Amino acid sequence: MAQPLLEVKDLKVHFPTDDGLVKAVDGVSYSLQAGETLGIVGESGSGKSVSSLTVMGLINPKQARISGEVFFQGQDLLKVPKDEMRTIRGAKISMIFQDPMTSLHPFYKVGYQIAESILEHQDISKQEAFDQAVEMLARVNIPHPKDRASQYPHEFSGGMRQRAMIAMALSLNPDVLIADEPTTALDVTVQAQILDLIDRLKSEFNAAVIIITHDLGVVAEHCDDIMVMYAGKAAEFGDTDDIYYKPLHPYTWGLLSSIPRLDEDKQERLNPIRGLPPSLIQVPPGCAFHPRCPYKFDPCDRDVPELLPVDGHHAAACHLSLADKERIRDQEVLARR
Amino acid sequence: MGNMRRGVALKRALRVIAVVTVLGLIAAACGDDGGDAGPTDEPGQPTAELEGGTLSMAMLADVTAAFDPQKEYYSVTWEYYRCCLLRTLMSYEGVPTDEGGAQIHPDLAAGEPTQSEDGLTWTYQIKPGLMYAPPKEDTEITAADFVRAMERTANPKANVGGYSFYYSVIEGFDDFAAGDATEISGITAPDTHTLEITTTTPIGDVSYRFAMGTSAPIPPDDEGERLGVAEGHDRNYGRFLVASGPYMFEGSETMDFSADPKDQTEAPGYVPGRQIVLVENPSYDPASDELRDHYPERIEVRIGGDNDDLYNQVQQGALDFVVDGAVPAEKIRDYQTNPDLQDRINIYASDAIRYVSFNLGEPPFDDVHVRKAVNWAFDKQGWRQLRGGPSTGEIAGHIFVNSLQDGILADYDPYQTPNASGDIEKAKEEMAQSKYDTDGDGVCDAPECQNILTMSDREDPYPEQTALLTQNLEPLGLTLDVKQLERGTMYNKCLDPNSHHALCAAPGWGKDYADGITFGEPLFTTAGLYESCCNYSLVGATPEQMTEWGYDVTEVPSVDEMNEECAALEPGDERFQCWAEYDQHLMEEVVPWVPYLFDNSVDIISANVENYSFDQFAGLAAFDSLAVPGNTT
Amino acid sequence: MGRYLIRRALFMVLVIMIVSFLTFLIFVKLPAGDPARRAVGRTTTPEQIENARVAFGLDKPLYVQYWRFLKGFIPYPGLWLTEDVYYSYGNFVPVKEELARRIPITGILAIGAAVIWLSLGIPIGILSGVRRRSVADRAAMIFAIIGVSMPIFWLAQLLLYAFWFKLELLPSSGIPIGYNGWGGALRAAAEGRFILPWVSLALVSAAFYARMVRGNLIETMNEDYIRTARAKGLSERRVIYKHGLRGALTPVVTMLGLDVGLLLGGAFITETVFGLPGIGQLAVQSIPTNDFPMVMGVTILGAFIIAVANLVVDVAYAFVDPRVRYT
Repeated sequence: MAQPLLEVKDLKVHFPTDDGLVKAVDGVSYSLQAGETLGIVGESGSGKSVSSLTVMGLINPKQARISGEVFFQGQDLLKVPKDEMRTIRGAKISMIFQDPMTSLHPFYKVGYQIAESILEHQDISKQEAFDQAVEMLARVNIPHPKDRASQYPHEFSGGMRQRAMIAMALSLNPDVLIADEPTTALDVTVQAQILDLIDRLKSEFNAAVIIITHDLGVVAEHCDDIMVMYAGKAAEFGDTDDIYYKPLHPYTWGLLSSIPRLDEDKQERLNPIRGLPPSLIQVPPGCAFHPRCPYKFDPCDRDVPELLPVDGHHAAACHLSLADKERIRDQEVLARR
Repeated sequence: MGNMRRGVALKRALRVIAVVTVLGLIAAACGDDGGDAGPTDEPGQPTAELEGGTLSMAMLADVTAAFDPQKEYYSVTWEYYRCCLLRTLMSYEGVPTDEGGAQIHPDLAAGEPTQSEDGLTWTYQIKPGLMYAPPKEDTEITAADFVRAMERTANPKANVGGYSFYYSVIEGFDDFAAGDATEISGITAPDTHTLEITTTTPIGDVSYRFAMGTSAPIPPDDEGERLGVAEGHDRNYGRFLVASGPYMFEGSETMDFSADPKDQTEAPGYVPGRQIVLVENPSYDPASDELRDHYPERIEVRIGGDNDDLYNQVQQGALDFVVDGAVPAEKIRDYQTNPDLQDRINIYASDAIRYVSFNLGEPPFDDVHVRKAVNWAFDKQGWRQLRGGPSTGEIAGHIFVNSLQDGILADYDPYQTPNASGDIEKAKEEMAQSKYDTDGDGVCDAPECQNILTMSDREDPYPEQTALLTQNLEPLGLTLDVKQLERGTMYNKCLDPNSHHALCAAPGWGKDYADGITFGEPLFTTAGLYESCCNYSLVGATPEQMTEWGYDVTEVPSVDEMNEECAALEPGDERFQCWAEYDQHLMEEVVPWVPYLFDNSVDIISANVENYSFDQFAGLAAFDSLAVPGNTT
Repeated sequence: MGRYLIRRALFMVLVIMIVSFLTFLIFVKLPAGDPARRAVGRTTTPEQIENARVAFGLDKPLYVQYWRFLKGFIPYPGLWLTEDVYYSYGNFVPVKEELARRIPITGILAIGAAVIWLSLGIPIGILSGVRRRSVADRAAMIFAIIGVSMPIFWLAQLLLYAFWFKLELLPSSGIPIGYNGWGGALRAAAEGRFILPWVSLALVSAAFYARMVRGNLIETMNEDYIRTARAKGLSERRVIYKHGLRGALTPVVTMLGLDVGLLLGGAFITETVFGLPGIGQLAVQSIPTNDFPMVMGVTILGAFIIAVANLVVDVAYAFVDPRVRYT
């Protein structure tokens, strides 16, 4: 296996607040190879966004206690000085966000915003940077890119805006692109276009991509590996086949069963996961999922389950024995599908 | 009546001696010439060492009609005219009463006028060879110029806001004003230096009326227009004023009266709302003037500012004088107690009186005993204290200010009480005689004594003063319903008999010129009743008028005859005596008022001012006597 | 944009007419006093009062009077603030002349104060907003609270007393003789005569603007596009000044236009305390004396300036915020 591009080891991000210590990320590890797409899936408050923001160095170390290691090209990004991090951010690792309307500055032209990114990291003239921006817009399939570059974000449609953001993120040929909920704010028809675009650009630029989402449908088609997060920890890790066809964590089962199906009888109710996501200040003891788990048993409220590999790099953090898991899975979960 | 006259006449001699002594002591004690041991000067004979320099003054507000002599009815402007800009037929010396400041002297007139047998025609000779200020420096002041001034005074477009009624007494004046005549028959110039004035009834104070700015000569222009240089400037002749006094507006020489009036440029020295700059009039002949000092070489007046800060500037020496401000109470105290500053504060009687007036048509004040009772009960000292204390004025025991009766009544106070604080016992004694006190216990028990409608001013110190009055009158069974009004509104209501007010609590009155007629006529005769001004007590109203205004009371005392008698006398001791008796009659028989304060004018001068004189005529400092020889820029 | 401007201009005319009508109504209904009676002085006769009334046009029916004043609004030579009608009852000076004389003073006062409060308020607001909860922030906000709470008349008198009377560092109140027109006003400014007035006005506004900028900046820095800017690897300075401020300062544009417009209508307290012969002082002098033509002139001038300021601000906003477009 080639050297991983990005390796996150036991990342913990805790925020001390007046109400208590918020354990947003509580021991997350993963690695990413060039050309790969990792999907990080979880509910709101699972810590999926915070972990990526920490990788980017966008969490203020004065406000959070960060521990662990984030290796990128031989360096631990958590220990790199701020100025150097800035050269990496945007140029080597870049990020796009959920709502492109609010994520782009409303008062500056789109071309300017892209060129700004370029100029920050390259010593070229403003005109050259602008030309590159126009080129990038073309590469994300925006028609009339030259005209569009002189327009403002509010003159773009939702999908186009996200394309522009992608163009901005990729303008410096980064090694890693982190996409935080890239399609959540878009129409369904546009969603597919954006995700396809990301795929294409990944190959063109030979980058690695992390897609953060709560939507399992999104990750199904576009990710190589998937990490399911719950309450700041990884609940399950595996490739797409593993997760979709051989899930080994009750939470994953719950997620999969709760997807509404078009081909089923309308009368059937949806199957949500019982209960609510836990407070990150008062994480339930033992397995954080245990209050909502239909299969909980003795050790679940005492011992924290570790993320243990099951088969290859398919891993799950659950006290149930492999046999039990497979049994339950095959009988109840998959049968229902 | 005859007995009283003789009795008073006997006492008068003693009084005069006493008064002169007292006034002399007072003059020595307070408010003498400002400045350090500077050379003393005599009016009309200015001291050479005091000449020169720039006098710098400030005014909070501009004059009221842009210096138009036919419109300006404002004592500040009158001082500018008298001291500086306009010479008149007769004028004053710009000194206090006890130095002769109320006396009138020839100015442009060559001497005292001669009067005809019937007393109706006055003839004045004009001093020859006196020229106007630039741009009319080649024009001599002639008698016809006075006629012109009177014609403008009669012109309704030009005299808005002025005092043309003082000249109605000139034969033909009203006809000319109404457009029924082409000239004023009563004022003629038989030759270039003789002026003849004929009145319709014998009037003793003609000279006083020709000491006012509106009577100052207006030069002819080259085209022979009727109104001379004022032609085409009905609204604003003041901006084009041609001076005849020691000073003129700076830049007057640039005025060009040969141009069309619409194209003429105003004298640059006066910028309304901003500045008044006076410079020496090159045509002025000091030898012809025994009245004025004209010490400063230049007078610069800035208009606008904050009252307290301006007085700070005077204290610093950045400014020499504030014309129309009110010295803050702390500063008055500072100056009076600090030995270095004591000779820079000047306190003089300003010839104004503050009083409370009764409406003689409105019960219970239709009963003279009630009015007298209130006079006894009134705490005048308390009212003065609320106003700011002894520096604000003298307790008033009668109505006519001293300069109007030459000090004859200086000690006269028929309702004098210990410390002027009121005497409730005497008040009750008086009230017991009233028809409204049915059981004679000194307390009014009629319903008319409740909720007496009182018009007052809502600004300090009047609310506190009326509260004091309410307190004072309570033991007499009188309760007040006080209305606190904006000043202008209060005056309107006090004047209007239809308001049926019973008391007017906050008025004041000052003389126009130093003759008793300026008090006697407008305040207590029929001529001063609504809609004219300012007889609030309805003295002299006819029964028809009283009925028309809705009063049950139809009989009120009248003093019209007494007023006429005094008005006909020539200026002099007899006339002063007549006004004194008029005042006594009012105080003892008619009782229209409770007078309580003869106002003081308080001002401070900067350390640069080496001479000071108070002009009793205008009631403020004589600007031309403020010597600033050291103020050279 | 052209049609928008025309619509706004018409609206402005309507506003001015309404203001003038209300002003007229107030003067007619106010019991305070007959201007004719006020003008004539105390001793008077009915003929004199009537004469004054005729001279001021008060003998005509109300609608005729109003119409005469209305004609004076038309900015056509010969009609604009015509001297027949717009002649002060108080001191017999044409309104036009008086206003023209006073505009330079008020202008310099307003503009100078605006420059100072912007130079003071915005940096303080930025400093506070960027370094939240630091000592600098707390000090700045204390300054802001004090500044906003200080009444101008008190502050003005205090400054004058301290800096001129006691310390003799700055000139006294008032503009000297002969300093007329714009030239005179600029000369007075060069001599430092406007420093204390500027400071009095500016301190209060600076405090207000500091708080506003601070609040806006904090809000703006929470926006998503700030996160994007940081994600692009931009320096924090660039993020604050190019991205954050751009959003934080747009409300300042609106406020500034309105504030300056208001000041140009006359900062009457400051002008009175410092003896500056500007429009504000004129208003203070003419209103209590019921000098209607002057008050009308001042009011209409003020209304006009504020309406124009509003318009300028709205148009400027379109340039500042590209999402706003006028048709």
